[in-house]
Order: sequence, then C-alpha cells, then structure tokens
Amino acid sequence: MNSGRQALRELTQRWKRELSGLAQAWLDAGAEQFALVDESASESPLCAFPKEDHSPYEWAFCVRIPLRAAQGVNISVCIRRVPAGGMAAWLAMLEANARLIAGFLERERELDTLTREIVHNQDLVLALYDLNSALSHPHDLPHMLEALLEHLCRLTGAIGSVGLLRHPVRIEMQRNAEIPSEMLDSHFDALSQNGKRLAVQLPNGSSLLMLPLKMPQEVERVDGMIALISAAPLQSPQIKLAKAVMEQAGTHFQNIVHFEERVLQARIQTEIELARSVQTRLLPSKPMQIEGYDICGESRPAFEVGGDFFDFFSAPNTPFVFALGDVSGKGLSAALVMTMSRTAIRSAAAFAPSPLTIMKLANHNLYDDFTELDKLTTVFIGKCDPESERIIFANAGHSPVVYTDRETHAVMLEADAPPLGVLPTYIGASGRVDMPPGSVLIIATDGFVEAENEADEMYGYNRFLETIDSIKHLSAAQIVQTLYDTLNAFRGSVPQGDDQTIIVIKRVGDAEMS
Amino acid sequence: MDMNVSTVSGMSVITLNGRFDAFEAPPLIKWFEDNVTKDQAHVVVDLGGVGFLDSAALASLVKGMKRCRERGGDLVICNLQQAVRIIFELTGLNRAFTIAETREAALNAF
Repeated sequence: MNSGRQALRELTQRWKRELSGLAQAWLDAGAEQFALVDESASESPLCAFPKEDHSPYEWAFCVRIPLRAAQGVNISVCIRRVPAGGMAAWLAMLEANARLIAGFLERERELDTLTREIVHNQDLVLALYDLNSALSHPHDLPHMLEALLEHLCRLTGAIGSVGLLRHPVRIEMQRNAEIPSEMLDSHFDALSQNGKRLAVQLPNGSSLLMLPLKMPQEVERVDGMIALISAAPLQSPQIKLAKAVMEQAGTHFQNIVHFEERVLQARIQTEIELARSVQTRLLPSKPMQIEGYDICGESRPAFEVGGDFFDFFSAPNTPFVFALGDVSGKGLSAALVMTMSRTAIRSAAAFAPSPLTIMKLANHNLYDDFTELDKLTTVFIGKCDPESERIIFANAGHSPVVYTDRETHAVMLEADAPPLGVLPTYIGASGRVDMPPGSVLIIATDGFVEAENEADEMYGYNRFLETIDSIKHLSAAQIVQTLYDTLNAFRGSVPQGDDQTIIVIKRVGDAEMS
Repeated sequence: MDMNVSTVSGMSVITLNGRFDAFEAPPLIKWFEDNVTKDQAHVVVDLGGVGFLDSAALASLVKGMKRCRERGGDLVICNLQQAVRIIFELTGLNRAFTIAETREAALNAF
C-alpha cells in the first residue's frame, strides 16, 4: 500500500463516526453494505460498513466522490444491493453522500496543508534563530562561512552549497558539492558584473543559484558569494529568504573583519612597544661621569621606534668614547638598521684605539648590508681622555655638529667623509677640537635643524647656532633640555616629524666647577 | 615632487622638482632598478628644482650612484641650489658624488 493510500485510509478512520452515520441510513433502508472504495486498488475498500469482504465487482451503485484537488486518486462511495423503491431517488441520495464526503475530505486535506505550512514556518523561524546565533558568535571568517552555508541549505532546502570569499582573504568552502575552483571564479566574475544574482545549470542537470556577499561599507564591491545547489531551480520565496539572509550576513562578515583588524593592530602595537622598550634600553640610561667633563645625551624618536642612536663607552683607565648616529629613513626599518649600526660600532670600539679606526671597521662591516638594504647611516664618533683638553673624532656625514667656547660664536663642524654605507672604503680623516674650560661640543641629529613650524618654515642651522650661543653657559643637561624646549615651542602644533637625538659635552672650567 | 626623465646624447637625464623626501624616494629607486643596465649606466640627476632633501632622498641617490658605478657608469648630480649644496657638504656626500655645476657640464663629465 502506498503512502497516499495509507493517508486516505487514516483520513477515513478519522471521519469514521460521520461515515458510519451515513452508512447506517443506507443499512436501515435495506442496503447490504456501504463502503468507500479506491478505484485504483483491487484490495479491500478503504472502509466498509459492515466490514465483511465481498467481491469488489458486485457493487450495485458506485458514485465517484468529486474531489477538487484529487490527482490520480479516485474514490467512490458504493452500495451493495439497492433498497426497494425508486432507483433514481437512491442514486440521487448516493450522489449527495458523495458530495458530503468530498466536503469532509477536502476540509481534512486543507487542515493537513495548513498544519504542514505551520510546521514549516516554525522550522524556518527556528532555522533563522539558529542562523542568527551562529553568525553572531563565530570568531573567524571560515567558521562564519561554514555556518552560513549550513543554515542556508536548511532554510532553502538546497542539497549542496559553496562559499567563496575573495576579500579580505580568499576562502573557498564546498558542502556536498564539487565545483572546480576555476568555474567558481568565472561565475564570481560574472556575478560581480551583474551584482545581484546568477543562476546556471550544472552539467549534471542540477541548478546553481549564486548570491553576492557584500560588506555594507564596501557597497560597490562584491566580497564573496554563496552558491546553492538544488535539484530543481529554487523558487521565489526561497530566493527572497536567501537574499535577506545574505544581506544580514554581510554585516556579520564586516564585524568579523573589523574585529580581526583590531586584533592585528593590537598585536602590532604590542610588538612595536616591545621594540621600543628594547631600543630604549640600548641607549645609555645613566649620566656619564668623566673627570673634567659634563656630559648629557638624550634621544626622542618621532614614532614609537626610530633610526637615531647614541652610545657611551667607558672603562677604567681607558679614554671615554662616544658615538651618535642617524640611519636614513624612519620607523621600524630604520630601527632595525640602527641596532645593526650600534652593534658594529660597539664591536669595533671594543678593541680599536681611535674613532677613525672604529669608523673604518664599522664601514667595512656594514657596507654590503647597507647596499643590499639601500640604507646609509651618518655617524659621529669622539674620544676624550679625562683631564685632556681635546676631543679626537671622526665624522661620517653627520650634521649638525656644533662647537663653541666662551670667546667665540658657535660654528658648524663639517663632515669630511660621506655616511657609512656610501663608499666601500671610509675616506675620512681624524679630526681634533680643543676643549678649553667652558667649551661645548654638541652633536645632534637633523631632526633638530629640519623641524618645521606651522608656517612650513624650517628651524634651520642659523636658529640652532643662535640658540646654542645664548645657552652655552648652562650645564650639559640644561643645554639639552633648553634645545628640546626651544624646538618644541618653534614647532607649535606641528607634530615631531623626525627623530631627535643629541649629545652635549661640556668642558668644565673654574666657573662651572664652583 | 615632479620627476621627469629625458634622454640627451644617449644618456638619461632625470629632472627633479620640489621637496625631495622619504615619500618621493621610492619612485626614483624603482627607476634606477628598472633602467640602469650595463648598456645604460650613465645618469644625470638635475636637482635644480629641489630646495630640500632628507636622508631618505640622499639614500636613494646613493643607491643610484652605486648601481651606475657597479655597471661601469656613474651618476652625476648637477644644478644644486645653495641649500642643497650645503646639505651635500655637511654630510660629506660631496666627496662621494660627482657634482657638476650645470647640466651641460654633467653631460660632459662622463
């Protein structure tokens, strides 16, 4: 017995009391049996009053029940042995019975359909709720795509699905589908042109419906697509539902992208802060105490990390050596090269006797790497003995270097060689500057002289020299502080554009001693 | 900054105008990478229109100079404004580069 007939049998069972009322009227009038018969089946009737079996071909009257929605189902109401009296009247009564039963059955069928729709709608509501929960929680794009595919299949009845995300990363996912990537990409391109939806038939005869995934802030761009596979083309209500889900999904995808961007930014920020901490700790942290000299150094990067550095080398019974450098460029790449340069100079200073030799060694060791990296570094290296009245130095392209004493105006000391990394062999010579009491040697980076104000004017060498002349009587630390303060006042609201590093070395004289 | 490249007597002449800093250096570096070859290793850079250059700009010129010299040629800079000339002198780069007064002198420097 097929399921349709089974359903009919159940239907007639539910209406048994009403049918039995009708049957009783016939039996009282003298009929032998009243039954409902499925004409397409040779088996026993769907229901019979009384139940006894008789040959199916021995009905006296059979009237087909006029079912409106009956498709291939023909049920008749049948009478065995017509009661005495006018045949036409009995036939009319049986036809009236058939219409009445048709009414029962139609009501029952409508009720069934309504019940199925209610159950289906409840299932849709539940699926939408599940979808919303699933899309609200995933932490990454692959899980989000997976959840979307799963729930779209459930909502639309699709038998397979494919998700393809192209921005901000490529993710391809197939559920119960095996569509070649090239075909997907070609469909994606066609969908991007069209922008709304695309339906094609697959070689195996099933239908493929593609819907775009757009993140709200990228309205012009299709970021991904979902393809639903179904045996027959999806109908309008399913397509509308899928489109609505896709619009909502776009917002969820964007939230995930933003969340991932924020996580990435936070991670990078942490890395940069670590790098800043490393770099800060590489700079001398304590004031340098050298007999007869007042020394102060400070570095302020424009960004979290910078390409400037300064270093002090001192050991018992050895001259004090100091270095200051500026790597070309800014930011992280300059910071990496800065640590290389500092290490090369520090290693050379460990056993080289003079600034010139340190410079030659450092250039030799750094040249190939600098050529590879398109970098160069200006470096000033100086040496002074305690109590000595002179500083010996080598200057690889570094500026500004300023000298002044009690009697003369501040002057610039020019470099006699290009920065490290420019020529394979260092061509500079050793320089010397006398340091009588009160004299000051200032080595700064170009972040001082190239700072700009709101009117796009550069601070420049002249202002720098004039300021130094006016404050050269102060201590080294005060000179450093005043130079920074003056520069900050000059810049106004313009942010610091370049790293600013400075070493001030002042020869302490009688006046300063007291 | 404007960057203009022309060919004079088979040599490339790059004319730069405006502020020359870290933001402007990458296209020049790319030009050197793409165009300086063994057969074309003589380059003149005319800085007549440049009033300021920073360390990244200097590094890009050094890159061009090294690339030309490695391929048997040279990079000659010319037409330096006073402020730019001072930058070259203060950084000792005047001792590394071949510097010509005028474009004609630069073209004759090879």
